[in-house]
Amino acid sequence: MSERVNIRRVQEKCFAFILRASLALCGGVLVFLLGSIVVKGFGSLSLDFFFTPAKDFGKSGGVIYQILGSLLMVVAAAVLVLPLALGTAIFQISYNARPKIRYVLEQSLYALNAIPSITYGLFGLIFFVNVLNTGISWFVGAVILAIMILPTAILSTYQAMAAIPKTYQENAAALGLTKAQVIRRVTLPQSFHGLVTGLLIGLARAIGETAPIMFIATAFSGVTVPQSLVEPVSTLPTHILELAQQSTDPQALQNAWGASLILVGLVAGFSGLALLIRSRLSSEGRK
Amino acid sequence: MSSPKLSLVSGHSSADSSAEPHCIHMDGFSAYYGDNCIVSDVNLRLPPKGVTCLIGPSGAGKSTILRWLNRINEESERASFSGKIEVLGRDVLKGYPDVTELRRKVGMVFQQPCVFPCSIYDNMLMGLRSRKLSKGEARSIIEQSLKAASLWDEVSHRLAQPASALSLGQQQRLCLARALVLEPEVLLLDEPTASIDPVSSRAIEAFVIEQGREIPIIMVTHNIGQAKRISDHVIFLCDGQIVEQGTRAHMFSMRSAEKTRTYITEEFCDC
Repeated sequence: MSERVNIRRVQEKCFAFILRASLALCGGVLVFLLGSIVVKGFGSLSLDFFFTPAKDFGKSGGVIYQILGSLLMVVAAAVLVLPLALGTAIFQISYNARPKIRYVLEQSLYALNAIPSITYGLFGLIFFVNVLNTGISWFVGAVILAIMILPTAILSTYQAMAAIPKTYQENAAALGLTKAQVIRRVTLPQSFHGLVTGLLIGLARAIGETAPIMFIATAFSGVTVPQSLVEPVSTLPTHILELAQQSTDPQALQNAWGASLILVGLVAGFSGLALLIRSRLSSEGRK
Repeated sequence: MSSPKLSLVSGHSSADSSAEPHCIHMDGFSAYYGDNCIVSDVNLRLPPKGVTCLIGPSGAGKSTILRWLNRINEESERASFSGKIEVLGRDVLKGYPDVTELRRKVGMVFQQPCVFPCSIYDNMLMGLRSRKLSKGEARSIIEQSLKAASLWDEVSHRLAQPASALSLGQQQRLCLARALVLEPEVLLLDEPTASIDPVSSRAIEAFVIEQGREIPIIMVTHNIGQAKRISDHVIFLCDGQIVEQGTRAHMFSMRSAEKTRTYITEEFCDC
């Protein structure tokens, strides 16, 4: 009996060790990556770096237009995604009465979520630039980013809506509320956190993407704030790519680390905002 | 087994008197979930006032009958029914092309208290939004309903607070009051006291008896003592069919059917 207990204790300890080792490995990689970016990039950061335009293909100057370009594209993508994600999730939950079609749509969204981002870029290049002849346009880039993050936003909203106990809908319906009123009064307030979370996580992914927008929306140098929908922008990821290609130059490399740190900061900001809004809206929804 | 076609239109008689008005009329009613028949060939007529209790073992079809009276079962994709249901003299399907009209006339409270994630006042306001009422009128109706549900004294000073802060018993009374603001012509209660404390249960029983004097109340309960305390009429279901229905005096007497007596006695013993 005591031998069995000893074996169990050893097993428990081994299991706990494996879990701790997994955590240490993952955490270690993360700390190493972020630490490298912070240590190497911190030296580049200054007010000038944030607020002046890049010069000499990024070897000197700052990244103001790259920050503005990145934010412009993700904000436009968010505006495009929000109603589409909300509408699709509401349709799936409240109006799609056929379980088989619902299942197929849901699985299609998971499949779309797994498509490599370069594929979206190629689609944008072929459809918008070649077929529709839009030229290099930041708005087309925003549309492609919106298409790319749409499945994440829909699935997050849909899952939040599906998690609402059915009894809420029944109670609301029993009070004589129409389907639209049930959605507005019951479903939306309790699932809005899912939409916001999915959207912000999607945007955090989108702001760091290079591949989908490289061919269709960005120019590597010489761009400022676009004056129309069909002008290119420069973004932080494409700027970092450009600087990395000149990595034999120490100043270009230094600026690449600085731009990377700002990009990581923006991604962390979106993720942190998603967590904050999720916890706020979730606790409000539970009240 | 076909259900006996008894009428319950008079307060304490089980004699058929189809000339009198009925609030609920079911004829050859069968309910299905997918291919499964849950309730089979039910015939009943319920009077325009009084409390009718549906009793019977779990899975007998009590809640299914209740949930078709305001078509809340339509929310389930696989639920269907055959036969005839009339509510307040109109066919439940053809007579109410707008199901929300039916549901405003036929209020319902469920087994689990379910308050919406908003204030107590907004919960009460939820059903009133379709009616164009002034703030004063709405507040007056809400106050009356909360008083009827014996909740006004406990919540009048904190109507703006989240409804989820109330105890389960208070939440269930809020659900009753919320159903009452619509001024329903029929009230359906699906085991409203199953998950709450005895004090709140008694308050709800008092509410049911009081409201039963004004409107018909159809209540599912597993609590035989409760059925005996509050019902005017009792319907005993088993395996999706009505075994017996009649007045309270009849159903809880030695004159009731053997199966009914056995069920009632065993349920009492289980208590």
